[in-house]
Amino acid sequence: MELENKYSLPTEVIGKLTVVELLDFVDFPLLTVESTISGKLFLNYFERFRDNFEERYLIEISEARLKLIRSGELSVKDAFNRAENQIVFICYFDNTSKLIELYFQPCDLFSSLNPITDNYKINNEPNRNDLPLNELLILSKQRDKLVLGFYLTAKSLQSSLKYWAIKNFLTPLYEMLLQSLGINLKNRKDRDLFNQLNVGITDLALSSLRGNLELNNISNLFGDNFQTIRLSKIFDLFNSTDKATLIKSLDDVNNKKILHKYINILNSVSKNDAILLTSLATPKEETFSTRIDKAKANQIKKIINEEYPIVEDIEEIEGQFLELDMSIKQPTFAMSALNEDFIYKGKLTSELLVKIPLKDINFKGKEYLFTVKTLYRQETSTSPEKNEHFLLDFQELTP
Amino acid sequence: MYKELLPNNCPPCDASEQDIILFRAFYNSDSNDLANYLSYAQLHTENEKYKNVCRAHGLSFFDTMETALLKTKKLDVHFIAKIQIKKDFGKLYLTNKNDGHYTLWLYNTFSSTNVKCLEINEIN
Repeated sequence: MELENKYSLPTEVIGKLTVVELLDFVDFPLLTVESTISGKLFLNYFERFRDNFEERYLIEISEARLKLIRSGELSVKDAFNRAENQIVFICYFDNTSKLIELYFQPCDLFSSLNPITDNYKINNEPNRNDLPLNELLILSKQRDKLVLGFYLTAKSLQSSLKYWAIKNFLTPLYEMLLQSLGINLKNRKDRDLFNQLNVGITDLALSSLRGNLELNNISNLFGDNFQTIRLSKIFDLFNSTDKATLIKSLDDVNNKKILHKYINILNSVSKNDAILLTSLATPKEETFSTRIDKAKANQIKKIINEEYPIVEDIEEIEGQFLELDMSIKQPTFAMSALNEDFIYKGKLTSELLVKIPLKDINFKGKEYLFTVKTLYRQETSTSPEKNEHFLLDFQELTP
Repeated sequence: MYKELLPNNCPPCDASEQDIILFRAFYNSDSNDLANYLSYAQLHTENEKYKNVCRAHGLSFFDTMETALLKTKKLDVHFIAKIQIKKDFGKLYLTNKNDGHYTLWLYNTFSSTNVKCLEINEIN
């Protein structure tokens, strides 16, 4: 395309572009979707080589317009003829994708010269069986947050989202994340940190189960970010497939309850022949990724079952007494947790039994901080998973 | 395991080893020349933009001669070869079922001298 100098622009007008999607890549990027750091999307079309440069046409494009292109409803030629902001950029890139020359053309002028073939259509929803790490990195920078992307695929999830995916995957993953950050939502004192980090799920899509978990990026005076360090340990754990590294990774996360949640996730992957992809991106462009399929889940589960047949966890839970039965040989208790919809039932330890008569126990709504030990017994071929709770101590909560 | 250092989660999890006959565009007529089996990432080592793009580390193949011709007409290629892909070449993935476009990520054991070319046609 021959262009007059009056249409020339400084190359800085188009900032640094990052590839977020390949719409057509045949040994060469023919049609891509690219993003600026501020999240502006461009459709980038390769026209030809000219004097060792790549002649490419760019238009700014909305996600809604992209959907039409991906579905084949809108041809690539029409997308350029009817660019949303009425401007087409004509770009010359060198072979390192550095923009060397930049021109613009109003759409009506471009459409009269548009060399793109009439019937060039994508007509193929790009395969999203991966987690686009570049998208996560851009999102992380845009929001200045840590973004953990997850994608769970399984045959049973193809037509609709199933309850097991929420119960045995999403909930344990969310809890693992919180626990790795040292947050126990059952405990009032941890809620400040939870609020400060503003942990939340965004962009949840139900085709299989895909979404992002986001949390604030809080660094100390030295620029260190404790969340990244702790979350990276979760990825070390996810990527551990031999006994030695698995034991070391578990020591590093230093929270036995994580193991229980991890087992839930591994079980759901294994039982449903699912594939789990997770990636973490930080505003500092650090990335961590993992992939767990049925074979890998079974391999890890085998090691865990051998090494940790019983997982012990002690936690402090705010709640109210519902019941104390001292009339039986091993007295039992029941308490409802304040911050979760769950009633803990179990046995009292002998140490606590000695203290019980000294306590002024109130069953009429008084709040206590309970110290509860839980033993998680792994599922075996002959028995299902079993959890046992033991009340170690309790203190009255001051209002 | 792979000839190139691949980005995370690459190739896609459902890529598989296959024995299959496919078509590929070549720069020259020697089907055993390694130059015909270099990925975009290998050909553009100084280009950082596509370093983390999985498909930039793979090779494109098509299930028909016509599509191979059509999809590569803008590239500097001169031949279309009919190739017997073997399981030990690497992992293959149907990138676009509508145009029969496959991407192959080569194992480090791949040698171009072992490729069996069934037919080769010069592009006019």
